Amino acid sequence: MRLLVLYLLLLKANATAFSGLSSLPVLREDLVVRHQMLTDTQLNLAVTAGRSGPGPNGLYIVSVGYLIGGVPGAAAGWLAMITPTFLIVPMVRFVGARADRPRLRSAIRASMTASAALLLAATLTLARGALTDVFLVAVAAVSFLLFAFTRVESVWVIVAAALAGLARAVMVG
Amino acid sequence: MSVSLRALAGLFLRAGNLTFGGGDAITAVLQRELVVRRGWITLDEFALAQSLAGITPGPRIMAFSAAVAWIVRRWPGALIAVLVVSVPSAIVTVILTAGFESLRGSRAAALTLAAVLASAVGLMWAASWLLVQPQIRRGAWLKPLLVFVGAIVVFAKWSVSPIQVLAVAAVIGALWVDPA
Repeated sequence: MRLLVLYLLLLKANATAFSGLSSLPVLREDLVVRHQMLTDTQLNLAVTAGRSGPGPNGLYIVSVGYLIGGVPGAAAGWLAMITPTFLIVPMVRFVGARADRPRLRSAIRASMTASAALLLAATLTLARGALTDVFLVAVAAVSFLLFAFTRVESVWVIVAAALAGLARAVMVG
Repeated sequence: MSVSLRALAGLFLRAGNLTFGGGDAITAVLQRELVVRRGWITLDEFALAQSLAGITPGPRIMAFSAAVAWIVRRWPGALIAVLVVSVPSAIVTVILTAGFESLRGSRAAALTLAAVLASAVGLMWAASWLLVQPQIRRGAWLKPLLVFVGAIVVFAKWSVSPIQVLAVAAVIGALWVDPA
């Protein structure tokens, strides 16, 4: 029963948000303030764990589930995260069938251009925190050049960056 | 083009679980691998999935993965993509949650993660470039330029929500249609 309640509360937070961490205010209100199933410290730990690993930032919901209900709680969190996902398929089907219309195609392309701008704007904030010395700026610049102008498999660039960071750790000591 | 479920699963497994930096970084990898390197979907199909993922509840990257995998291999593709993107990274998140304190104390782990995050920044710059570049190549550069600069200014200066920015851009696109 407690697991079901946890699933429904996490689903509620997830279903009212449209990106990784925007579910946080609703989740905190329900789990920290109202039901006191979680502390603010645990919530911070969950967000940090969600952002430290690979995958979507929204994975912090899995971490929240784990802190409240162990592995079954983590499974409830994962299920809450993916439940609304498949709503997109009927939408793609409906809009995709009409995508040849010039006005709709133009609207989608303009929206894509705006999302490229939002991506750049978001990375400016991220870059301030992530590129704190010359070495890290160089890693970002080389990665940009490789991603934008070569066809090297993306994962290898990321693995090379990790190895560079590790080599630096070994040299610095 | 016929794409095997195995190849599809392999790509989403790598993109979803070896990419640090959240959904934007994973989208950037998938855009490059699906559109530029493999040609499994067109840029217009990518744009459609990205636009609709923005109005689907939950993490955008999950909806985006389901949408592009559905375009490539319908329901089996969508189910497999969502599973391989989310399950391994969810397990890693649980392990990180359980052992976070000891990991945070490691200097080698911190320096390695810092380099990976720096690479993710470069990746997202490239993603932004790869999204805009084909628009400019189509010849009509004024509209993409105005939408791009306008979106940054409106988002950064007036803190308008991303969904509102995308919606206004879509309305501008619908009203300002380039001649065929």
